Amino acid sequence: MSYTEARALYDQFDEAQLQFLTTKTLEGSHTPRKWLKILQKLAKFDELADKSRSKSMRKIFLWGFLSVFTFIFTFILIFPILLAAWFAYLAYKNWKQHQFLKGQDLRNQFRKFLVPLIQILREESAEQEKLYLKLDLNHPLSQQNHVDFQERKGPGYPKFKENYYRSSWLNMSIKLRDQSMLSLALEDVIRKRQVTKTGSSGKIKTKTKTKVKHLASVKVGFPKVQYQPAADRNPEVVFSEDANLMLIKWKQKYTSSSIEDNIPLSELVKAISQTYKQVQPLGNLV
Amino acid sequence: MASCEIQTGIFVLRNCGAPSKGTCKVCGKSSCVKHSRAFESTIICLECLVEEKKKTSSDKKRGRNMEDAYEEEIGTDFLWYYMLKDQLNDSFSFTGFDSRDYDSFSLTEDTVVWDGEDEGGLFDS
Repeated sequence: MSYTEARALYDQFDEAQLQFLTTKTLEGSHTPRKWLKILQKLAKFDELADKSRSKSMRKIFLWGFLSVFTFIFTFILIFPILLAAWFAYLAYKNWKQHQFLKGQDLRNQFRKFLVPLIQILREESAEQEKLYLKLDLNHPLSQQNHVDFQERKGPGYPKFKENYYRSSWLNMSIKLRDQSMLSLALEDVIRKRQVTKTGSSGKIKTKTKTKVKHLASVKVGFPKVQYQPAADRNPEVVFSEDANLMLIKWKQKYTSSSIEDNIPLSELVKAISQTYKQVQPLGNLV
Repeated sequence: MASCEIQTGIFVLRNCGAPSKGTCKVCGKSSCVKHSRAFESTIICLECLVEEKKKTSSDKKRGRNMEDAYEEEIGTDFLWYYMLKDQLNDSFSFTGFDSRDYDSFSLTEDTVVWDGEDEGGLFDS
């Protein structure tokens, strides 16, 4: 059922949406409302596709098994060969659907992080304000993100091989309702470590471990005509200013062991809130 | 016609202001379609719904509930947003600035001009 629904949504996509599913990259400026109109359908499609794919492997296995099992009986009877062919066809059909959806799959950050983040920014900005968005959802361990390789060799075991990747996957900026300028950048720094060691029996084993640092950089330019530094602001926060703006930077780090994880949305919102905690409006504060 | 009195925004707070479709049975505020939900055979606002949900779930589960609510409402609005606001308020003591804090504000487009300077190296420190 999920596949039929996902396919029906897919068939409604315009050229830009189809291109995004192919390239997994996006760059442009639209109002948050327009971005949501474009992206929410893709998010719904991705959710349905994930659901369908999670079931399809089981189906492929089941139809494949039944096909082979029935085929064995064709040596005795004639009829089961048609049944075996039918089961084989069902297995093949499910496999094709699975492969199709796999090709369109977007990283979960897209629907669990980016789309709600745009919804938050829609509430924080004026209706006509444009949101600049640059997104790259290609696999973070692709060759273009590879930045370093280190190898620790000794006379014996263990031996270490480490590959480092840096994936800058999201940049966005928008002017908020209070005329502050918000810029966000999200980056994943990944270490893939391969350890080869010998067990007590002398057997050589290789294990691969991944560690990911999810970095969020927040910068808010507060207009000086409306804000002043808060009396109790954190002295460690990076703070600079020019004639019109106070610029406050905040970095948030989150560590995980999977490239599928991401910094939680609440942590990013906290990071933006941190910058707001460093200022106070030039009004009659209550 | 009354306008929706439910507060929106996380950093800069404001009343929603959309045309109201009814009154919350718990807090009595006017609320629009977007900020109302059916709950136990009555209509309440999202702010009160979050409070009701809190009564029935432990603190440990609340973060997860926000995620669940988002997954359930992926194409619509907006309970998860009020759960996030509440979480931020509870765990981080952050409530944003509201109109009382901005008495001297003139929210006009030409108040400040973002010159785009420093765009290239925003995150270099």
